Amino acid sequence: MLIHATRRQFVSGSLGGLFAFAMKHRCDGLFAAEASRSTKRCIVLWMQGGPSQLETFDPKPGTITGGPTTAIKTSVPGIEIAANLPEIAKRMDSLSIIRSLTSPEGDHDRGSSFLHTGYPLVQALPRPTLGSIVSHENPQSDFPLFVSIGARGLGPAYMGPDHAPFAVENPIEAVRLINGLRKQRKSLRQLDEFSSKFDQQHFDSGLQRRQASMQRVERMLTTPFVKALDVEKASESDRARYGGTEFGQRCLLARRLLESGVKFVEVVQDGWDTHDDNFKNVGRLCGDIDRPWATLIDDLKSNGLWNETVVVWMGEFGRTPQINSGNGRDHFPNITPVVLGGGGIRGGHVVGKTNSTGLEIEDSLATVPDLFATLLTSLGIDPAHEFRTEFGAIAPASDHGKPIQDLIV
Amino acid sequence: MQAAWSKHGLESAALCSDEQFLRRLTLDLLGRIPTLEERKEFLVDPNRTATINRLLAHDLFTKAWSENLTTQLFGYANDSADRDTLALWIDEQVRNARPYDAMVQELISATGQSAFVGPVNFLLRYPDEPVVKVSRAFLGVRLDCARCHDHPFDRWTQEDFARMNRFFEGMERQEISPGNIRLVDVARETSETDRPRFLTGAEPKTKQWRSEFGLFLIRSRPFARNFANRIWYHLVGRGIVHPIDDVSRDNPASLPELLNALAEEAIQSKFDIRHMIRLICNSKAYQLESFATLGDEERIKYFSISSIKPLTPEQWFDSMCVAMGQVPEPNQKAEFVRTFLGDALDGDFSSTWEYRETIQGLMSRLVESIDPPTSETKELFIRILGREPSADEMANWQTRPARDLCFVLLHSNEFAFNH
Repeated sequence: MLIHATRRQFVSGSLGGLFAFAMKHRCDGLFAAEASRSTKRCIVLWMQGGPSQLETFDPKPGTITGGPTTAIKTSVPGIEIAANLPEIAKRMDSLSIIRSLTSPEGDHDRGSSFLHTGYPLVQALPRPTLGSIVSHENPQSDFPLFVSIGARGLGPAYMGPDHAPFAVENPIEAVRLINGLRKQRKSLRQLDEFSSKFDQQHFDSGLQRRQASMQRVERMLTTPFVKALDVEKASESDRARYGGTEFGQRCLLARRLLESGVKFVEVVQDGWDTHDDNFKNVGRLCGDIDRPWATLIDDLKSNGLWNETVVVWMGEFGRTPQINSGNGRDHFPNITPVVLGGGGIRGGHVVGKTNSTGLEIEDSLATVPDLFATLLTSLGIDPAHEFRTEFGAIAPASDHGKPIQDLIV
Repeated sequence: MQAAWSKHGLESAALCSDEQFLRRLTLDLLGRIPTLEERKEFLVDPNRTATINRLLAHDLFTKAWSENLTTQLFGYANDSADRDTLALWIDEQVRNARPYDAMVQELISATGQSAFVGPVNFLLRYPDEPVVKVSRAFLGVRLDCARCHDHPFDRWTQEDFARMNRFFEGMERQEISPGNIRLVDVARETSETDRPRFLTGAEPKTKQWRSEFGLFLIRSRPFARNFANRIWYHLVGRGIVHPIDDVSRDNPASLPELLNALAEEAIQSKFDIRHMIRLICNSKAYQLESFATLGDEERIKYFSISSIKPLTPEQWFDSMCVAMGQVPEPNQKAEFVRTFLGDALDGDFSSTWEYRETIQGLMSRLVESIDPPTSETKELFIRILGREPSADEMANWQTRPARDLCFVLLHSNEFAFNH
């Protein structure tokens, strides 16, 4: 109930703001089309470095390539995952695994760009990251709709700076920033008053953008977003349930932000580039994510957001089935593991199959554009929707991807 | 221009005041606001032409314009090539008044190691389909659309795109050591129907594909027009073709005669950057008032009123240092640019005058502490805004803390824009 009220408040608040803006610039109707658009929410758990599929969602116990990793049964008969993720195994009916996703990009930057935008990287033609698209496809709000936790995130490209990620590299810093701004409120009012003469005498789209940004900063201070940001204020039990790890606290912050109305949160877990000592390292990393991720699923279900929120687990690429001399695994984009659930995504399903050595995909080959078409569809954005770049060139939301029909309810 | 204004039934704005002119020109040429001394000197003898010449010879002119060129060509992302080495090379070219066409020829054809040979870093920055950036930066033509389909409104086809890109297909990157990449050319086989072909139809005669591309490029008329339009855009705030990198049939020049005349001037002056700047800064269009309201779009389009330009993060930082009397620490500027732009560092920065500050960047800057350089109200106005306070402003601020006034002035739209 509480969330419901908050959300209604948020919607009316932001429409009021838009109306005021439109009145001020005598262009009512300008935002009419924009205001009616809206998408589901999305949380991406980004495994920085490239997570091993063999130690997570496609184990090959008893084979040479499988290494010492063992498999466990899950809540879905017939689906087994690595023993590293016991809590997730219990919730397998909520999630689906793609074992047949392939990508050509085996470099960290290129892989990261591909799995964030759905387009191969062409430096002269930057593409917006999914979070920027989602931000763009919702009515403008007084607070950022796209938040990146634990990393600066990728750029918004032609979606423009208003849809850049709000980066929370460190939650304590973010709270300090908000508190600092609260103290400046009087000065902000004086600033507004002072600029009015200049504003009346000049007319320019950049000037309008700066005016709008200033107003957003002032209004943001009273939104549920800033309360959610203050993760230190979360209850003890909440903090305990997500565990003491950094990733756990980031997931808790993500949940709070999603509840406050943020549409897209990326939570980064670094360390998955396991060229050395793969089994020990991935074991530890899985230990870090298993409980927080499971708690996140439980919470989204109990607060009613599960069907409204697409949950995605992925990284730049998968890792080689061959184990190297340092007992590690190297980059293997040929098979790139992805797990998803929530928001209109079918649970308890496995897409595709790899062969016994884990080197080849045996059926249901899927591409990164297909993954993005699937995500866009479940979020409520037509993958064929054509955006315009800042110069008017046509840019479809997805690079000709086809949604994976098995995953869409 | 007067004729064009009459033809479109537009009245030109009045000439801007001397102090406004000085602020505008100093920001445009030196990348920062004028100092108190510079302002005082100018107001004693407000000779605009002499000031233009003086600033063109200033050391900071080289710094500001090479910084700006580097950003347009390279952006800020520093992962695939060495930005600093390129910046250093561009600085040297601007300092030595190297003709722009020769500079571009070298950017297109250079070979060598990225850590030592500045110009190779331009193409190394765009390893995939470099022609997209090259044609945009130097011809003002967007082939982006043609990479996927024949352009519906223009004559460029997918084949044009593929053949243009072929000029660069002999390029090879060799990693010498981490962060040092050698750019070389290797011979590529082609069939008769598959050879590189410039947009004009010209094909290379030798194996030096990139060098020949460079020559086709710099000898073409669109190159001269693009050069003239870029400098015009940078100074006046709006391109004659606008946006500057979208020359197409459905986006004609607002004043084609002006663009042609400037292109001719560029060719005659052997692509002398300072000469073009001098010419434009001395024109009436550059020196007009910028007061505008909703409904003045036509006047802005035909330059009968000045456009306003948001300060770039570099201009902002350097201006703040001048206003506050601060000497920046090393890296402080780079950090400021990063904060200002937030996470948009991987974007394209070829259009200088888009307002690019992110909300997070704005928030971070609003909480920074400020040490007022003086407690005098009048001096603060002059230092930061380059003008004296009005009677109202004086009455309003005289009794309030200097720190509050400093905050308001430094974050005001009047400071944030070049107008």
